[in-house]
Amino acid sequence: MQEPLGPLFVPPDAPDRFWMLIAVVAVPVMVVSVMVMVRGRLPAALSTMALLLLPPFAYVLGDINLLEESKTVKFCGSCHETMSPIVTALHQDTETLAAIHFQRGRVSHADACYQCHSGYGIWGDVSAKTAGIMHMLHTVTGDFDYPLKPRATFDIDSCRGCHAAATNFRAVEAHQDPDMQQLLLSGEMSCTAVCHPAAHPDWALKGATAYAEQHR
Amino acid sequence: MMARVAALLVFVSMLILLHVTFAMNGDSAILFFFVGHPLLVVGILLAVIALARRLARERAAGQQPSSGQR
Repeated sequence: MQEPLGPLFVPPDAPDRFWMLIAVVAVPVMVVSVMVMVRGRLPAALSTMALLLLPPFAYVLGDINLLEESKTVKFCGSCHETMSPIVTALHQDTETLAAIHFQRGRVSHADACYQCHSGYGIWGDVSAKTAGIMHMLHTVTGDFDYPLKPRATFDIDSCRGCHAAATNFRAVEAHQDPDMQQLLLSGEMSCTAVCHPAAHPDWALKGATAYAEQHR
Repeated sequence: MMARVAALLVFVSMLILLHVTFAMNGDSAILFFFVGHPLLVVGILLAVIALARRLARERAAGQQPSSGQR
């Protein structure tokens, strides 16, 4: 990674202390679990608290933490074989839509993937999280092929969330055409590939192994 | 024995929770979702059964003297 030129160029840090809360709940549960394993039994009240009530609470905290942290580009890029070339392209590519947005700071560097792929509003969040769980399932089962392709039409509400009210977006003649608007809103046509460049370069969609072989 | 197995499952599920908390990445998230959650559910179910059996045993043991006095 490039060295920052000074403190002005370092994004502000949002301190994350959520892990402390999780540890405060999980560690006592583990201690009592070990005691139960060694002794075989403990007072009913202590066992109930440590084995029945606190663990689900700890997992709810863990789920919340994971939901929040899984929005980050770092998390997306951690699925090394499939996603790391796409994250690399955000930094290196100069022609594709995601890289242009990323390098110009039009999307947050912390959660750029999530901003564009989550749709708009709360249902966008829900569909993104559902899709994320399905991605995990595809990763576990190996149910995916290269080059990676979207399984559904890209939800352009993500684009419209930022661009709809922008004056330069409204000024474009093609955007004002009612037929074009209908095609875009119905999902028959996408912003990318026809008028705008593809979201990600082809080389980034073929996996880390293919990327490494290309750049050997 | 059942209480020990329940405690072991809960212990491992907590380890997985701590792992995903500190090593937030795709692999640990997969482990958390597809191994941690099922382990926790099974662990809690076993703990409930163990606790219920123990309470039933203690109740039965507590009632024996009183029924013997009758």
